[in-house]
Amino acid sequence: MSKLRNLSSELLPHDVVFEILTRLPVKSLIRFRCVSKSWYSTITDPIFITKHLNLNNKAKSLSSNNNHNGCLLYDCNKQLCTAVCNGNGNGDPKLTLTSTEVSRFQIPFSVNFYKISFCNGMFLNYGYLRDRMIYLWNPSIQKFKMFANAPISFTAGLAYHSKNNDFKILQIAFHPTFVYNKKKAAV
Amino acid sequence: MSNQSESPNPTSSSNKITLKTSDNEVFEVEEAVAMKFCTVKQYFDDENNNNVTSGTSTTLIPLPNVESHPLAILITYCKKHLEIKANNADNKKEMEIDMEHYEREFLKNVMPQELTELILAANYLNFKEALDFFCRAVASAIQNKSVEYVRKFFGLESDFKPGEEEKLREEFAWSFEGVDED
Repeated sequence: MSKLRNLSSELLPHDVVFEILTRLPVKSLIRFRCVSKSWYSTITDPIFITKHLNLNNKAKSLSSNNNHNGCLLYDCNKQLCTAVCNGNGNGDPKLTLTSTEVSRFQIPFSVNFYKISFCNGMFLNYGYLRDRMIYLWNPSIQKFKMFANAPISFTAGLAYHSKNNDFKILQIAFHPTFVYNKKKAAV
Repeated sequence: MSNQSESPNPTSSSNKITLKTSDNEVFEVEEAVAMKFCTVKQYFDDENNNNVTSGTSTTLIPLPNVESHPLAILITYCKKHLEIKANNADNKKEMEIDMEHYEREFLKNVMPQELTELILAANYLNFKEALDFFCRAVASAIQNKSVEYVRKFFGLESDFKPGEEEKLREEFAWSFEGVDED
């Protein structure tokens, strides 16, 4: 590929560069923020990020005949892994259920006994025993945010708000009284 | 790259459309091929609407922003694209496999300078399938490359103030690991 070095005698128009960038993996995009100010603005622009996510979701659903048999596995070494179940074992007792690992992430913060909710590649993790912190985590860019202590007994979910192009954490606390609280998260 | 036409495409009519490039070369192509170039299609449609009496066989469409070299390659690509589509009309999976195979072979014969030329031509002609293919090709060529390589590739220079770039690099140091050598 070293022959590609002297490729550019003419500059490509911005909309073509935009199209090329939407086809790159996240790790490359994070690196290429450093190419120039204009690339930085494009890559960090919410419109670009949304387009990138949609394009990749679409490509995935087209390529893998998504039959909604994905699952999320957690092991004690603070690792999270996404997997796809192979076959459904229906009717045949000899058929064992196996799964194929798709991706694996190291959880970058310490939570014991936690619950997870996820949406558009973002994870919401929270402990429900001693550790009552709430973590909003994006494994693709390896960044997380921490929120203040949650109520003692509560449940939470992560939702995408398309109008604002932002995520919302919905938190339902069980006592002392029923509380419904929305937190806006800048991501 | 040869301009000879392959077996006539079953979906196309016998209508031919003549394209004239910026370097004054004339290409006669099947209507089905020309209609994949949205810019040509638009021109053709406008022409038909404005002048009902003009015969389509005499239409000559000037392409002042496209040279003959990339156009010849795009026409070959387009013909092959239509052929693969026609051969696998009832099997999408087979079509994708054939197309992938053809595109892999295609890239082996394309020089880097040609890729920019081809992208600019496909962009001007608004030939969506080709543009998508070339964008994917560039993306896969640069995805494991360094920032410096990409600057050279796109003819760009860093316009960050001293210190700014270092700060960005530090923030996501892991994204600079495992990068191919230039």
